Amino acid sequence: MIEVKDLSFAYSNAKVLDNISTTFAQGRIYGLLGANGVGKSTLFKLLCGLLTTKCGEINIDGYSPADRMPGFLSRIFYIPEDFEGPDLSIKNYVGGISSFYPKYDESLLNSLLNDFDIDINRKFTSLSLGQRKRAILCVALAMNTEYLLLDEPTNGLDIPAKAEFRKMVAKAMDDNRTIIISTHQVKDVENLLDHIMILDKRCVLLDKSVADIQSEYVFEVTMHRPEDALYYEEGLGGYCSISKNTAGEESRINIELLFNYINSKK
Amino acid sequence: MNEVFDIKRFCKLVQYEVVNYMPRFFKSLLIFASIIFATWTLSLTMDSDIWEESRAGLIQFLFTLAVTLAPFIVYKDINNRKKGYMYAMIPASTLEKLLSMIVLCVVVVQLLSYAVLEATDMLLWLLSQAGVGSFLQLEIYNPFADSLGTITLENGDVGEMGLPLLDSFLSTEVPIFYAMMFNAIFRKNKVLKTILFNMALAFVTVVLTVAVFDTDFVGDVWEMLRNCFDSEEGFIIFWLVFWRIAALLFGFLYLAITYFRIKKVNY
Repeated sequence: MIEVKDLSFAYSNAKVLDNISTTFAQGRIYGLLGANGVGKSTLFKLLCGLLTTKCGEINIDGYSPADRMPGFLSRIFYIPEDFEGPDLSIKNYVGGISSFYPKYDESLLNSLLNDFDIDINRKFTSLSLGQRKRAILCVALAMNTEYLLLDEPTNGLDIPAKAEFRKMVAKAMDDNRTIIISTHQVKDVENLLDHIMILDKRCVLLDKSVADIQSEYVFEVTMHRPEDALYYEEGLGGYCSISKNTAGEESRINIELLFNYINSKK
Repeated sequence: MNEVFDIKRFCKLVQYEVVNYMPRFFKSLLIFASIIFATWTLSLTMDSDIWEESRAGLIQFLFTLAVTLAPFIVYKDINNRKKGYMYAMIPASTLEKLLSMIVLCVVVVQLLSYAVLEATDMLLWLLSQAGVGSFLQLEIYNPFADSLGTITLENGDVGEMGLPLLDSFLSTEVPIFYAMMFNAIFRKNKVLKTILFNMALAFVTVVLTVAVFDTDFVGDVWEMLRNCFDSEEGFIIFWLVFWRIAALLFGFLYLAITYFRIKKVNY
């Protein structure tokens, strides 16, 4: 489990995170949402130990990420948004790095690469951005780490690859794993998420499970302007709205609408 | 799992880094080798002799250059804000990463540089067989050479003070540690910044020395130290021991700074 307590972080010219506390439980897929510059990538880097701060505390299975202990590093895999990759073939890269990850599954890697139609002998540097992302995603999933942090994983992926990505992540998920996905492409991951966290500049605006959100709100599309809606947006197909769920209805979450509603309240 | 040092994990790390990082150094070595080739070609086309001393001098120069630049080439991305995260996220401890860096920069780089530069020279000699008196001897880089114990008395006794292995270590490895440290400190234009830093340091040292102490003061201290010893030999022995200890301490200081930089660098 990841526990974040009173975490603050500031770059030399700006404060990004301010006194944030939350937990990331095992067996869940978290969606980390927020406008540009609110600190999503910074939070990821803090969770991986790539950034350090004296304000606040992060505890991941007893480890402090900032210590960069091997036991911790072998439990976590992070893919940044602008992944460039080493000047090596996927095979050579995996050949070197896999020995550090005790749960690495070679057959899973081959099967994932096959699904994504990527040749294991290709160099990362010879792949397009989308292919590179797919390749490193296959590697990340095959390493079978307890924590997987994906920063904008669907950026650069084509439509079939996005569908394949969802399938892969769903397939790779198990009770011992925590996946955190930071994205602006909410439609790409809508059906994957178990928990949604919306970050604003310096604070957490929403940190709730999908089940809790569904029991609290109803998401509807109506032809007429809703009277009792908490928030609505006019679209081509009518009005998309969020209302209080007083009747215990079950509806599918419209994450984009939820995001806009939450942001409108601040 | 030992979180500080595990020999199996360390071996895996060395293997990983050799496969991942050494190819880029090998490419640089080929450029150095091509300089030897160009020098030979130029000499042969100009019908000038290629003397053993000049060959040895060239190889020695290129070897020193390659070895000193190696940390900047092999580990160039370790603190890069974009690419460096892959190094930081390798599941190995900071101590293992530092030791692996030492193994690569001190052992692998030197062996590879020596092999490539020597092999190039030998190959060219075999191909040309012109203008060269004999096969170039394998003493161009002699790790047992006495480099620091060169201060000799009139009777030449101090030559025995030479501690060849230690002196070789101090003259070759400590500068490598120095380069490793600056490679870990600077993120961009590392070589240029290191050169500029050295120039600035030399300038400040000279200015401070002139400003704070007059030349008589330095001379007085030197004389006072000499007077502490009964014989000149004793003074020189003291000086050599002092110099070696200082060089060793500096070597450890560079490594310690590199260690903490690797451990604490933000991406």
